[in-house]
Amino acid sequence: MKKTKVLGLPYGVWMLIFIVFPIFLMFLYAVRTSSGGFTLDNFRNFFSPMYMQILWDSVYMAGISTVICLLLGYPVAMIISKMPEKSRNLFLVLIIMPTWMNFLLRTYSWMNILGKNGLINKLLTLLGMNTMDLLYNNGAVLLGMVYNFLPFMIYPIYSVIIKINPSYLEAAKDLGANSVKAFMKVTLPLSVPGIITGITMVFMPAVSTFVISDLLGGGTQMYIGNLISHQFLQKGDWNFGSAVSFIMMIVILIVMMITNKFSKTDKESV
Amino acid sequence: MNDIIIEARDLCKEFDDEVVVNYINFIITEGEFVTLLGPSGCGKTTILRMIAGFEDPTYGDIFFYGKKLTELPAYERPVNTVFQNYALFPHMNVYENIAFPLRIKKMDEKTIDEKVKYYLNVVNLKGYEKRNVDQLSGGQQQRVAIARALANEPKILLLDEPLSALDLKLRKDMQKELKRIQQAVGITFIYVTHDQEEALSLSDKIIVMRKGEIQQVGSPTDIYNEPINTYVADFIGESNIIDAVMKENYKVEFMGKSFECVDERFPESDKVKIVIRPEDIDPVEKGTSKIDALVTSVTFKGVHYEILAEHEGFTFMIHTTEKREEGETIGLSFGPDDIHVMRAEQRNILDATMPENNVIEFLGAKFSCLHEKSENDENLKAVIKPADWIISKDTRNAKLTAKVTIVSYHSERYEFLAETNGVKIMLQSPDPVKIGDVIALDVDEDDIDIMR
Repeated sequence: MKKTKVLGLPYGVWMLIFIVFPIFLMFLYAVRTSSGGFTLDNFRNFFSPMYMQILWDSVYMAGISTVICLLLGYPVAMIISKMPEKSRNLFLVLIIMPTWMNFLLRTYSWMNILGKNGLINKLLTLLGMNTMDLLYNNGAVLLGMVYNFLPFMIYPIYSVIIKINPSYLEAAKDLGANSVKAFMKVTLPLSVPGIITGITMVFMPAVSTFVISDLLGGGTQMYIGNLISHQFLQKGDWNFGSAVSFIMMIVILIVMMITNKFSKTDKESV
Repeated sequence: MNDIIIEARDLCKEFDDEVVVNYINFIITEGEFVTLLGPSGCGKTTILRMIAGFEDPTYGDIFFYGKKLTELPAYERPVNTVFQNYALFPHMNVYENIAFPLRIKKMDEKTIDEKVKYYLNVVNLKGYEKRNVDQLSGGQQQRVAIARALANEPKILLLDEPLSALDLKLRKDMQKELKRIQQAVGITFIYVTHDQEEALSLSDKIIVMRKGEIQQVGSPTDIYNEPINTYVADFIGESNIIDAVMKENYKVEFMGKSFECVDERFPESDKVKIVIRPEDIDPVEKGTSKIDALVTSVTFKGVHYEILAEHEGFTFMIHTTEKREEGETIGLSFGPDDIHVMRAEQRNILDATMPENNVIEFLGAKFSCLHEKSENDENLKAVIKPADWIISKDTRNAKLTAKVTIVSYHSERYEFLAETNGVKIMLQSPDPVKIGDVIALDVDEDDIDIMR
């Protein structure tokens, strides 16, 4: 018991310096004015229609991209888990491979593909059709989010499905369930933990991203991530920026609590 | 006479060119408790999985009341399985697990409730409805798995080593329980196990298997008292297996003595093997029976003593309630009906062709023989006894080479299997061989018999 305490000490110190202390610092900024007095105005200011719209847009976009990732990712995870081991590993590597490249680089390449003189428009011109405005809209932002975060949905779902004992499926079929029913009644409920992890892993970065919305959205619409970076980098209002960051942390916390509740009730009803 | 519920015809299963089930035929009648018995890897579970529909036969069919079962998908077959690991759904409680097949059939809640309660009662688990499956002991999980399978009201219940994960005491209780449940619901049980004692105490009929083939089918008493070969004798309980000679009916000679027995002579050969069960030998005063033996070891086994006693290099195993001392010489007494006679001869039967008179070709090599071509040679087989092969370790210029796969030592000789061109052949030699040895094989022309 004592030994584990001693061994855990460096981690405690680490967490203190790099997690607890920065959050505390952020909190300090959030409750102070630029001149140094204590205030709750930074929080109060956020609850204006404009900022609430930004918050809603961010949550909405992140929500939509999470749903798309789930709808795309679940079948992929399922198909890969059914493959023979060799091709399974190959496909997993193929799915993870894009994340080995720099995130910015990947997003920039989408700009090259979607831009006015980009790959798609060049093709369209070549075929004698009119060019389209593919970049700098919500669709492009959504595409960027789904593209970047899809692997984080596939992986956790895959790792849960692959661990489901095949005898459960055999038992379901043995007891009269066809493939569809066996999936609905056995595979799907048993893969809920993977779905929850996937949702968390996609929703969190999607709701706070500012690079994707900056580059692919072209700043046409402001999301909460952009708002924060704007406050820190352009306006120099660290106090309001900190307050918004704090609120976003709370939003994410609430979403995580809701999803966790799902997995718990699921276990209890079982 | 009950109707035949399951019939397997020429059932074969190969996995990646490995033959797991090899042309198996059997019938099972309504209401029987049938056990597929054999060591792991003998193909018994594969047969069960083919009946359940989880594997398709490579060749052959399974019939259910004369109709092809193999055409139906697993979920439409009138059979249910109790899995070795129980496979209870972890996201459902006991009630929901048992209700699963009923909900699939879209029964109304009231019927479901009645049936779940009824089958929980059958397996003695009243009041466990709300329990999570991971809160149950192994034996209780076992019962839930049985209740769930029975709730679907199958015509046949398949049980795949259902007791192997339980401890000894629980296993004994569950054996009685299984027999009781089978009598209560009155359906056919097909049971897979490697435990001979389980098979003997539960079954109406036992199918003994070895390497994908059936060795013997019979009632537990038949199998125990009249094993058809040394494999079955050895697998079903302890046994003393002795080489013997049988020149006339009801008379068998071994260890230089002649004994009365209850079997008739086999027409093809004098050579036989006899089995005497350890509990059928009574230790008596030395000199009062035909065989005297020196006690070399005495072990107390709880109900009986296990005595090893030696006579002319052969060690007898004796189970008796009488205590004897090591170093003592005792007489061994057994009656005519304690001697079970089996065929001793084993023969290799190989696919062959005859390109010209007095030349026979099998296993990819040509041999001279004393037989001549005939018109009906499509099914020509060469027949060679294990002891007739000429075995040499020098494989240069060999006609035929083979790799030794299994070796067993039987007083004064080695019996072994060797593989060549994918065919396993039985061999015998007084000289030691090792698994993995490559040997050269030849046969004298007068040792090759043919079958058409």
